[in-house]
Amino acid sequence: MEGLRIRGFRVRRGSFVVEVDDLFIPKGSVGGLKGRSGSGKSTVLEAVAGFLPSQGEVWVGETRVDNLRPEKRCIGLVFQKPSLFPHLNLEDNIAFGLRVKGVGKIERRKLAEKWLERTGLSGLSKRMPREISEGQAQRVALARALIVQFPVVLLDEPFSALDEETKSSLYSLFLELVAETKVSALLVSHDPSELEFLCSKVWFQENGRVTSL
Amino acid sequence: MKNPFGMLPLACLSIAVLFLLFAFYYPLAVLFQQASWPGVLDLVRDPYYAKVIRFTYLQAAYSTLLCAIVGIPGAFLYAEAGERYRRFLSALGLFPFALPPVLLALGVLSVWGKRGLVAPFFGEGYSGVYGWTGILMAHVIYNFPIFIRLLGVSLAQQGSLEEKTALSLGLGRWRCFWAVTFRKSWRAFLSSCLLVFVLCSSSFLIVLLLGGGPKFTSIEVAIYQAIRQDFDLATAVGLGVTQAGVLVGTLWLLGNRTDLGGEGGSFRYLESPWARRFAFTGYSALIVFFVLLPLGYLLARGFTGLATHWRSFLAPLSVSVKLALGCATLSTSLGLCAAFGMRGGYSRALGSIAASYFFLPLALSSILVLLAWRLSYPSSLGSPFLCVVIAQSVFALALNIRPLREGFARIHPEAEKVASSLGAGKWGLFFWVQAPLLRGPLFLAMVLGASFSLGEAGSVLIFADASTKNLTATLYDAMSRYRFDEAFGLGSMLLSLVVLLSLLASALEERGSQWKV
Repeated sequence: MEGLRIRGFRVRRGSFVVEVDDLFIPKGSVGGLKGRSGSGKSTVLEAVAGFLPSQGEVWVGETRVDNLRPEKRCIGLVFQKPSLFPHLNLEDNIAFGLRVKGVGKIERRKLAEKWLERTGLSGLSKRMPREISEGQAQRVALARALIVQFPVVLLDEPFSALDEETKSSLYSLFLELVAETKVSALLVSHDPSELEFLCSKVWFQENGRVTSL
Repeated sequence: MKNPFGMLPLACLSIAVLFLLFAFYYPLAVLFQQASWPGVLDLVRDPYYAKVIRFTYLQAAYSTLLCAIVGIPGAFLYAEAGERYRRFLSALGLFPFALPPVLLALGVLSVWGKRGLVAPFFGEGYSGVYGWTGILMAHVIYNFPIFIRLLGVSLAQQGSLEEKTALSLGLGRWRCFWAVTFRKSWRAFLSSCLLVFVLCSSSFLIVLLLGGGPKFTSIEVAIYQAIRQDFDLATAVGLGVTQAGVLVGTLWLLGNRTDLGGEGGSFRYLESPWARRFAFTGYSALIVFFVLLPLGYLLARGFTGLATHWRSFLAPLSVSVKLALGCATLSTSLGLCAAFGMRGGYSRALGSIAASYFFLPLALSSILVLLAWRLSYPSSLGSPFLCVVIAQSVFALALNIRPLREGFARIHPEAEKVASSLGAGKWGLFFWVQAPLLRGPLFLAMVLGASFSLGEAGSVLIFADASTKNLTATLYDAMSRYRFDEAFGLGSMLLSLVVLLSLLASALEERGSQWKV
């Protein structure tokens, strides 16, 4: 079955344990993870992406990835802060994953231009990250995670630092891009209205345990 | 994030730790071990050396006091200033680390000396600024920027909420500054005082050149004389132990004192544009008169000497460049190893110990270190050139480890996670994310290493070997033989090099600070 499946998943951070019994997000849809600050939402994302040791299964489509290193999992990441590479211009930031994959320079530039246009940033390709707004930077971060066409993308409160107007424009862009790229997205947020608007299914996390709402 | 480099950071850290262990800590331990403690006590009781010790710490204490008097207004103006004036003051802050003391001594003499620029204004009886005046003046010019760099930056980073509250409760602005703003930056003030005290206590060339006689001999000068002129190793060891004990103790007090920053930007005390203009212009005039005039005059006066003697300057220039390259390469490589190894994964206490381990050499001078080497490795001090490079690298490492650590700190862990999630393995991460971000700090570290080597005098004077006779040593030689035409020529050449390197360092520092994620 295509999508992201997490089963019997357990992450231990000191005495705090995060558990996910069963979570499935089909291809082309957005699943939400809701919970209070400190409930372990970000821990789930980091462990699924492979940055924290964990037990249990993580499936990306038909491939089990929990035993793979982060760079081999084909799972994109977007954080609350855009975390753009400060030494690269917007075009090179977006094309970073393509460069890692060994895509040629001309092809990379062409694809990056397309994604810049798609995210409403055409004409800014040579700008440096410090020269753009937070909302624009978050668009670049989204494009960077999606251009590589990984089957899964994890988003850790990517809209929470933005103002209402920027948020709503990014919501629609995000939904369009998910539909276009057929990616399975897991979105962490503490904003119920955001989750309601963007997600087809929402899970709730309390005291580390993730349960279906 | 799991460390993708496995044991490599630890191995790198070990290389830097072992270097300092063999080049600094072990010799220092031997120095202490070989000191005869009754001998040290006798030395301290000896009227001449008691006077030397008293003079050393008294001049350091007076210098610190004067530096604070000049530096606190500068730090205050730094916090009040806009970006351009801050940049100017920050560039001044590189002085104590980049400007060779010999140049400052020559600059001071060129303006305030017996035959200096201002001598005609004081009439026939003017005898120049030798002795207390010269030493204190040079130490203040040299070290007051430390207050701007430490205290000023701390003041600029404090929030303004407490000040607003205090003023709303009826406190006047003058009292508010001292009772609230200055109090919040108290640790930075203390750090500035202790660092200036350490640097003035271990000052060597300024005291040697501007002291002008046995009455003004400091411990460092006495050690140098004991090794080079009297061949009295026992006295040198006794003085070395006294000096090392006091300086290491002071630096231990210095520790890692930082002040927490607040929110909302610093409070602006100077509201009226006229008051601001008056304060900034007045302070700038002071800086121009006491700091830039001596150096500018030295540069201008040096052109004649440079035109006449330039051929004879080529050999020391070549030695200077070779030593600077050696020191920059060795210290930066070690700094990179240390910074890479110290990156994350350790407890705060362990990180602090590691930082102090690399910082401690700054408390001592190269003369002391070379004295300790003579005791520890009596038969294996082979090539003087290599010895000088290693000795200078011990100190340059303490200076260049900071930009390298900051460079690594600027690489945000989330950016690294994103790179990994996009398929970058450990070497991809290194070449595509870490290395480009470290390019600036790496060059800055090289520049700091090279600047230090250009100005450092202790080790080259101790060896007094043809292979290590650089611009600084030749300049000292010319000054002590009263060949001032040649000295000014050498000075202007050395100053040009140092200014070039400082501008480069300043630009790199500026560029590096723009790369925050």
